[in-house]
Amino acid sequence: MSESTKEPGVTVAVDTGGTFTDVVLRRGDQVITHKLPSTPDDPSRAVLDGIAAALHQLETPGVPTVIHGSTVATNALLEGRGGKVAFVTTAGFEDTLHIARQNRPRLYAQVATRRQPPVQRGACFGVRERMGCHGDVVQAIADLDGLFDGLGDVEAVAVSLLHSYANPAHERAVADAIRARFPRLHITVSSDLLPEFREYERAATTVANAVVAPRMGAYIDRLRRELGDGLRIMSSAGGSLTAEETVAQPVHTVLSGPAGGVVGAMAAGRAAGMDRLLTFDMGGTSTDVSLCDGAPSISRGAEIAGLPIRVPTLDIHTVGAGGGSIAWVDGGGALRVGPESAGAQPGPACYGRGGQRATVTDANVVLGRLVPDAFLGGGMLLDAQAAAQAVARVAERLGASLRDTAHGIVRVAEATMARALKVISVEQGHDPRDFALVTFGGAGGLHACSLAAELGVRTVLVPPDPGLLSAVGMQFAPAVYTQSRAVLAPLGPLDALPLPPELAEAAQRRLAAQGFDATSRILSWTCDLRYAGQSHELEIDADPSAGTTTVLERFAALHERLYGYRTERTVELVAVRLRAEGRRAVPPFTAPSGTRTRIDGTVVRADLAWGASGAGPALITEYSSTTWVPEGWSAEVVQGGSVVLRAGGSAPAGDPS
Amino acid sequence: MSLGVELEIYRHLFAACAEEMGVRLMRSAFSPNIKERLDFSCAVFDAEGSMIAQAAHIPVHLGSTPMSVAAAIAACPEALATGEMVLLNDPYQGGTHLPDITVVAPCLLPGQRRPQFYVANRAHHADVGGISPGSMPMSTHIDEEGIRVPPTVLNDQLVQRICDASRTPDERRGDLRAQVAAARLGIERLTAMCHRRGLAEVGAQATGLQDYSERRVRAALGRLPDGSWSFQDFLDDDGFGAVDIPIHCTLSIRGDEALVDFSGSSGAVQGSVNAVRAITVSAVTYALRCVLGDDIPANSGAMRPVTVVTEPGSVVDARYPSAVAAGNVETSQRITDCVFGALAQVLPDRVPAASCGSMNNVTIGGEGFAYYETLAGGAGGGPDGPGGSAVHTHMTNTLNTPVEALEHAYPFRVLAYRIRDGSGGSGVHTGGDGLVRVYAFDVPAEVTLLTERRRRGPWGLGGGDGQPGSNLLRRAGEVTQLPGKVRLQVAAGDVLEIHTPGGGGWSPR
Repeated sequence: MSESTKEPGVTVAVDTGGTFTDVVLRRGDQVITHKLPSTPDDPSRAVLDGIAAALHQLETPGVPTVIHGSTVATNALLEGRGGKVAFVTTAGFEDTLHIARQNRPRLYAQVATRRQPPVQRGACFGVRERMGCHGDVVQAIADLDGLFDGLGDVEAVAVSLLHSYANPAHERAVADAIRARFPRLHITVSSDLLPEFREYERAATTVANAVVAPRMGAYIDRLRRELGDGLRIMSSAGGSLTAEETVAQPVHTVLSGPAGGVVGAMAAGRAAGMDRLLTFDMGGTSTDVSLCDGAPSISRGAEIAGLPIRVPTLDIHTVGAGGGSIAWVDGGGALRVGPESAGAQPGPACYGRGGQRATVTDANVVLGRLVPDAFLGGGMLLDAQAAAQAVARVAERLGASLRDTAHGIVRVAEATMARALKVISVEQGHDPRDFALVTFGGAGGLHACSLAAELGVRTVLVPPDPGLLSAVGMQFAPAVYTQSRAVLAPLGPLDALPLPPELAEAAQRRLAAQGFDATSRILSWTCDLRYAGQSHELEIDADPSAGTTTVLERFAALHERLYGYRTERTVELVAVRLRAEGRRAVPPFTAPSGTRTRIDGTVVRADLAWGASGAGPALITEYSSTTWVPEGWSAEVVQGGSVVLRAGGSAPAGDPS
Repeated sequence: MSLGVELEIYRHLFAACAEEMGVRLMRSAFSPNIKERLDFSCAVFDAEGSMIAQAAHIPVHLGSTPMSVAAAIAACPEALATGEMVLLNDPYQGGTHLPDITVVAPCLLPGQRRPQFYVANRAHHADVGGISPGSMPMSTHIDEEGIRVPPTVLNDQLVQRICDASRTPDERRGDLRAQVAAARLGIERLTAMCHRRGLAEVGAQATGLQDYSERRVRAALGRLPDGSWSFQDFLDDDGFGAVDIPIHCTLSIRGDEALVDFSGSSGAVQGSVNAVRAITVSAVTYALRCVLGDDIPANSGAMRPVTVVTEPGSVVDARYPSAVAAGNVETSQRITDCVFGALAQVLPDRVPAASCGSMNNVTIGGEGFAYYETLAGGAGGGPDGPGGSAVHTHMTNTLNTPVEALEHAYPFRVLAYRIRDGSGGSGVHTGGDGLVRVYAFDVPAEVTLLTERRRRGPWGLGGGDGQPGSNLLRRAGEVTQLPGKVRLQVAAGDVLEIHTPGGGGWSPR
């Protein structure tokens, strides 16, 4: 892969999903898409077959750059099928993972329990040593012989000693000793992966990395044998990693797939001239939402399988409601939707695979928003009668008409999602009304306008190929390399910002080695700041030219926006972070090629021309999705091929709710 | 549109309002108590002060917040009618114990002469004065526990008074400001909801949601057999000589209603384990929620079919000037044990053995610092499976403080933090193990321990009891067993070990 080559290279993005593996190939203006069933027993089969099939359509394929969204790390954690791992920590704290934060996930569970961490207590070892909180050696390392006895049959080791973010010497000494004795073991050292304070979260992240490392290593090896050095893996932070980086720190890929969708939504938004976006990815069993204010927002981590994973992660929230969520009437007479889902088998009643219970998808069929013979491009005929029968059973319990019940199911599902989007917006200090909603995934287009109305959002964007957006987004993903360093010291206006130049130099070298020239390398610094005494930090842009006063003012301003006030208290610098990006030039979205200029009734999206427009009620159908344009909304095909829906004039938008 | 649809939509709307307040409070507060340990709750109330929705991370706030709002409305109706906020922490007027400060705010809509809704939030403040840092003292009179504020208009002078009383005034100011910001957001959301959907509809749905919860609870109670079941359990002591303090509970089911009667419980005692009635109501609410269904919206309607009887002046209905600091944290757990003990007789397949039964409160204070934390223990085994180890149970669910955060902020260290093996009770489903936390002091400090289940372990159900906890002091090579409730001076070099109780075991009977 070489960014400096002027002749257009071939880029292939591959997204492994639960049901399908999506492939999007691009060379210059040429785009080839391919969808094939996933192969969960060995995801690499579908990935390699899909790439081969796409490349086959080129005359001179060459060696492509492959960007891959992988579920291997996530599934290893979720299914508890990672490697056998030992956890090494400071003596006295061997139970750190098992005590966790001492709380229980379900407040009213009959028996209070937590999900067990992926390391048995018998595989947690203590080293007699102690570092002080300022990096001072309180107790030197005693002998490690006892430790080695326990490492005979493990595949990977996680080392996380107390206060190692302040001084990594002990961790490195322990890792070196283990490596000398067991040279083939994968070792994750917490101060390399996450040099930040809070021992449980650091230990859990370190262990998660060690647990997924053996499987990810084998997986990457398989792909690399076929694909060579052009392989890159999508990271949870919306960037891409080299194969080597992925093998060393696979925990950075736990939200690989969803990250592609957000990056794609952002790209589609920019192509349409919008950059303040709420992304809305509604699937069969759940819905992913996120907020992008000019750029995807990046959080400090996610929770997977009960473990906090504290690495930079696109801030994506999952709501347990999707097209397959089952509707039911509870003992108090309320119409409920979910959390139970019909899943892929038997699926909604309208799939005709024996599902008897009404789902959100069935309600949409009853309302005429899903056209039975246009689903998956007509590839799957929906059973409208089965849908009506299932919804009728709910209607009987509810004491309402069939249509009112179907409408109710849809509205309840939307209320669940609106609640999540409201809470996310407050968390990030925003008002959703200032944003446009970008919808993708199979079911999003049916609900986007009503949801927008509920949130006060007036613009909805439907990107081209909404069902392939994750793969499309991966092509836009820059190479990203992040580093952080704990500081934990007061920061006054006269202090210099401690941005370690060696971190920047290392990042520059790393990106240069990957073929990114100086103009495509972008380094950005941020500082985690808080008022002394607070226990949560805000991440503030800290470009070196800004100066400490500016950074402190940005902090106070953001604090005021998020929390309503600022104070004169001392500000603490908790950590500095560097994000280095290698940006690739990507051609814009292709132009729509249809000739139809009116949007009314039911239209096929591929038939629409650039500039086509109309007003609701209307349905826009395409292979992987259907968009419902309610009365009071207008629709228009804009530059870049997206359809933009706007709440019109003074007419009430969406539902009367 | 069908009532069943509107119910569900409004359930989400009101819940979102409470959750948004909670997020705002958590993100903007100063103290670890609120931000990291989530020791707060937010709720939405109707014009009569009945609770519509609550976002509670701490069950002890469940039943007690409505009493705060009722007290605020009773004491300051004019101020609320003009849009002012009211603050309180008086345990005898709507509070629970002094560190829990509640802010009540009215929602005034255009064209209305009185508030149509209220919002309230309650947060645990790390220090509100009193004789010990952290305001969880070994007290015998309410005045020793800190500043006591009956429902009072919230203004700068009041904030200043609270800050003046506290050992950590800046933190108090920051946390109070966060509470006000959260209340403002709640009012904003309710106002927008009424603007969009109309006051008449929103008000009707607020009532409908409470009626719905009532229907759900009545239906669940109606499925239980009629009858009466009693259970008695004991607090270890009050730290001032009273031991084996009985708490007695009789649960009666008649038709679709329940009566929970605590008559026969001990009178109030000298030490601070006295609980005000709000805490007793919370414990009953929590226990019923566990067995009747936690998807029933937590609002005032849910408690309409339930009557709680307490004798004024008893240890479960303390009156002025009883000391109450530990009633909220320790007695609340024992009241819960009693309600579960009675429920176990009518619902043997739904009730677990007793859990840890103590929040194991540790307060450490000294020159310029005050630190408070609670320690988890073992959960009781139950019909669904073995109890978890080192996990907070029943009335609390606060997070621990990271050792690395604690050592940065305070002049003491944690030498060990581990699961206390073998402390859970035996059974087909064993009780979970407690934990051990070991503190080493670098400077002299004052330590207050308010701990329970040091004399007898949490009871099993068809299985063995959990091990009682113990508190040890290591000083110059000597090991001293400390009482369950104690205030002591520690010197540099001293080591304190807290061993928390295991949960009871469960076997089919």
